[in-house]
Amino acid sequence: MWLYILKKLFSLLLVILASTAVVYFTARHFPGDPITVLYGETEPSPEARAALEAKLGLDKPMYIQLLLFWKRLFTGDWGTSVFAGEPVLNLIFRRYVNSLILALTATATTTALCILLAYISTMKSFGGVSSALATASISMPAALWGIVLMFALALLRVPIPFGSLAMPLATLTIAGIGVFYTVLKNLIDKALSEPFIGFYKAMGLGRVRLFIKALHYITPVYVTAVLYRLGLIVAGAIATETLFSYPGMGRLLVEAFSSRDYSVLLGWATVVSATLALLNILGDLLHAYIDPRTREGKW
Amino acid sequence: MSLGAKVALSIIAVELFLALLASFIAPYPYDRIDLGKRLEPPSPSHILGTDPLGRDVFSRLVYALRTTITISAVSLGAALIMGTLLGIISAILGGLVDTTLLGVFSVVYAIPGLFIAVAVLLIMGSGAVGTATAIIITLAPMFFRLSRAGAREVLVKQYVEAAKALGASTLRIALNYVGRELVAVVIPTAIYMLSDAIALEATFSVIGLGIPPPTPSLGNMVAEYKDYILAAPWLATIPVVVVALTIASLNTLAKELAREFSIVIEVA
Repeated sequence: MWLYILKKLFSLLLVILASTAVVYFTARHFPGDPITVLYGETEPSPEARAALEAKLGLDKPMYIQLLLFWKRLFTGDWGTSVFAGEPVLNLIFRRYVNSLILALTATATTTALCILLAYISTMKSFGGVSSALATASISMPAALWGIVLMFALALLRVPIPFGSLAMPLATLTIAGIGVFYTVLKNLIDKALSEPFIGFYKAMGLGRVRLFIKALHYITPVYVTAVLYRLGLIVAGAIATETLFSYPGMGRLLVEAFSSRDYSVLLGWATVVSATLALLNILGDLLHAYIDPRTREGKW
Repeated sequence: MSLGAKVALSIIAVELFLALLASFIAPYPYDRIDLGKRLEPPSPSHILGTDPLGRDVFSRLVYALRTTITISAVSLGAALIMGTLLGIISAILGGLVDTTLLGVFSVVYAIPGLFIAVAVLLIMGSGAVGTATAIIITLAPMFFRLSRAGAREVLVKQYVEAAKALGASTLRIALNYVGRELVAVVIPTAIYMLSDAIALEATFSVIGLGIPPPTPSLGNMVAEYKDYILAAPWLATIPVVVVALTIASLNTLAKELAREFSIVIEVA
């Protein structure tokens, strides 16, 4: 197992290096750089431009700059944001915590609602309600749900709380229910047809307790499925965060892009690709722990 | 066919009809500005009302359907062909080719699709080509993974081995055996992903990167009209409802097809 983890961590390193390279070269390929953004409409004199380029390290060839960043990556000095003026590591840490709060609370509320819906779907008289709600949820991307929520608040004459957790949380929850419910419902249905549930039924357990037994049984598999999708939530938050000015990683990306803040972009790429890859490794490990058949080689 | 699937199919059929015959159906040109008739509610002469520039919303909607369906379908088709071909090649050739392709796609996985899409749109400029490229790059990896896994499953089957023993060429195995088997998996998934393509187009427009006005698309109609929600609530509601209906119908159809082919669609 340790060998497996070691191998995965090595591939994680490669993925980080590759994704920072991709992000850096794409970033450098769009027109403009931090200096044109700083000067805005006015044109910097050639001397001023040369001085700034030297100061920001933009005068060296592109691949040298990337190699320098890779070196700094391991020393913990990720450079300073040209615009925020604070160290990239601090900036990213703050935004990362915000995104983490959003992702975790959204996962929690979505899961709670999906469990409720799955329970309702086992009742004969309301069976259709859950799947109808799930269908409605996946019929729009998060960005459109965000706009629909804005409409709702506008029509109710309620001020929209920009920058707070509430709006992106509500948006991601509504948009996420469809996918999570499909996963949970499939698992629960499978669990409820297992022989042990029939046994509990024969013992005289009520519907609620049977449901709890089934839920308990599927928890590890569900957690794995959620882990694989958590990264998608973080990524999907780009539009939602931008829409509601929530200071998370998604909005940081848009800000860093529009101000050509290369060091922030590189830090962003590192942290996000590392997170996604780590979540995948965690999912794999959990998966292998639950289902020994998927283990590769010596464990 | 279930009732839901019938309804879904008719919705898609109506939309396709409107999109194909947009130039005959639209009562006004989509970009004819009439500032004397701003934000008019639905009436017999403008069945869905007029927008902030006095343009006929129904005409814009019909053309928006054409834009969105064309871009989504073309980019989905391209993603399908690229992803599936690379997946089959990867599975059949194996070795270095497989490792390289897997490596490339795992980097694409590690960077969120929307980031790549945003980067592509910023480089290529927002427009039809940029939007299509962004959608292709986001969706192609899915088809790659799906067809690679499917092809690997088929390749170890005994009838493939028998065909090889009879001297079937690699190309023949790829087309006749792997290709045919994959159709059942790829087609329902493709319909499911068509709804992803439409969702992506809308998302790009909402963050201000999609098809630029005045060409109408479902996404940029939402983005353009969302600021008039108090003055004309129906205005932005129309494209939002159309997007939701389209995606829900496509998902229902995909589910129905998946049931026919008895496969499970992976929910991304």
